[in-house]
Amino acid sequence: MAVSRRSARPRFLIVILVLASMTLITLDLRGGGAIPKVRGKVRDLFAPVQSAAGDATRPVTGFFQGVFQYDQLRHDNARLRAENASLRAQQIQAQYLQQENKDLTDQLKLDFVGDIPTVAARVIGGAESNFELTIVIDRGTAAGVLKGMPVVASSGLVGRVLEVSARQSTVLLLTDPSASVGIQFAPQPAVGVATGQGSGRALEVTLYDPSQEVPGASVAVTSGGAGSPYPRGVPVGRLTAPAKGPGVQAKSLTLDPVVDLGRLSYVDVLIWTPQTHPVTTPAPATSTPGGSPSTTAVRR
Amino acid sequence: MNPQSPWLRGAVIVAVVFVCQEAVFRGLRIDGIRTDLLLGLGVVTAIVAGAERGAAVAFIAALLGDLFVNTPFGLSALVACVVAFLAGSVQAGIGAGHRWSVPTLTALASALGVVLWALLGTVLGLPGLLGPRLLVVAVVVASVNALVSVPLAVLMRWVFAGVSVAPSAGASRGYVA
Repeated sequence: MAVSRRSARPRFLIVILVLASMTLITLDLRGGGAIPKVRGKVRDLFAPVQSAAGDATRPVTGFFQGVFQYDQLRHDNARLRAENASLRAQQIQAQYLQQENKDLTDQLKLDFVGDIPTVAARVIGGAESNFELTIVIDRGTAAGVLKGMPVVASSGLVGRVLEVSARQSTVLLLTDPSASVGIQFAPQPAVGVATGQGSGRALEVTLYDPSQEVPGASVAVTSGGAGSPYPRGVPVGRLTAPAKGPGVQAKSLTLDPVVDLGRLSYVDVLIWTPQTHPVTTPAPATSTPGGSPSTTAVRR
Repeated sequence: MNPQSPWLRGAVIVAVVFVCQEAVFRGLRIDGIRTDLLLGLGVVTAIVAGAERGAAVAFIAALLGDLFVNTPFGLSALVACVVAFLAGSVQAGIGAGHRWSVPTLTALASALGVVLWALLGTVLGLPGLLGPRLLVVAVVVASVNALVSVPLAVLMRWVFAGVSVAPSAGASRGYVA
């Protein structure tokens, strides 16, 4: 009997631990409660330690990053050299393109940020797990950042605030499989939804009207709309699918994000929510059988 | 509390590994993949100190780690305690004295933990977890944990020094008189 009791104890403990875990998971998935608050408080308390340790160990981690990413760095070096040569050639066309861009912007009212107030933030960390595409920034509710606010870089959309504590926030990147954004191609009227496909992969586009064709080099911007978590006109990505004839078939549309999400140092949080900045759904030039082009984002 | 208490020593080690995971090695990534020292700590504890203690340490350590991710709170703790318990049970079954058992079992258990986490996460509705990258993550986490398992084993043997480790998982408890 004694042996039986002894051998039963570890099984009893593991059952207790499993049940405790499942209870916590259930409580968290139900939302609300104390868990998000505890997480926020702990992150705030630990943020100075993370920041100090990160600064102190940056040379070491940088060295190892260099070792582990040697091939990547070589590839980047070659790519940058090629880009440099290409940019020299493109410089010649810059004035013409600037004028064209101005015209297109005026036409589509692509004010990007416009008069929306922003909060500049430093990226202080990447994803805390290997299964979410997020970044951590050093601004939180103390700076006016709220959950759900859009985050942009100089060239376009980065994502939206997923979790926020007093001094830092977690930003869900566009490329996370749980992220999606309503888009509109410029200057074409085609509207749809771009969904993340994972790190380093292009966004998959679903057009509301699959019969529409989009020219190969089109740029997609946020479509905005009532209830959208993003304001209208923020650049999202550039079409990557090969063009067939005058346009690209809707089934094969993918977007390469305009922002290099793997190399973010500073971002801007748009102090913007659908509630504080109600916008009207832009009237697309074509019908949208799939419904409003407003954006959606799956809650993680 | 008695400073010689193995649980006090264990708390210190958990705290140190936690700081290493969330602060010191936070920026260290291999092919974009983070290490999971907290999972490794629980598994190593189970191997050197018994399945019961390993499961408890793994649960607490992973729960701390869960505070810093945005996935369901408790998911990592659930996976870690189960995997650590399995590793401890396997170690008890094969017995001590195998030189490579600690890093080998740690690697296998860590890989299993990564895959199990992804499977449970998918069941809970997290998208995009199951794919080719999952294997890469499992291999990287397993490899790093195998490497760190040797010093972690030394630490956890010190933590539970003087505490009996029964030959079977079922009897892994109690102090030496």
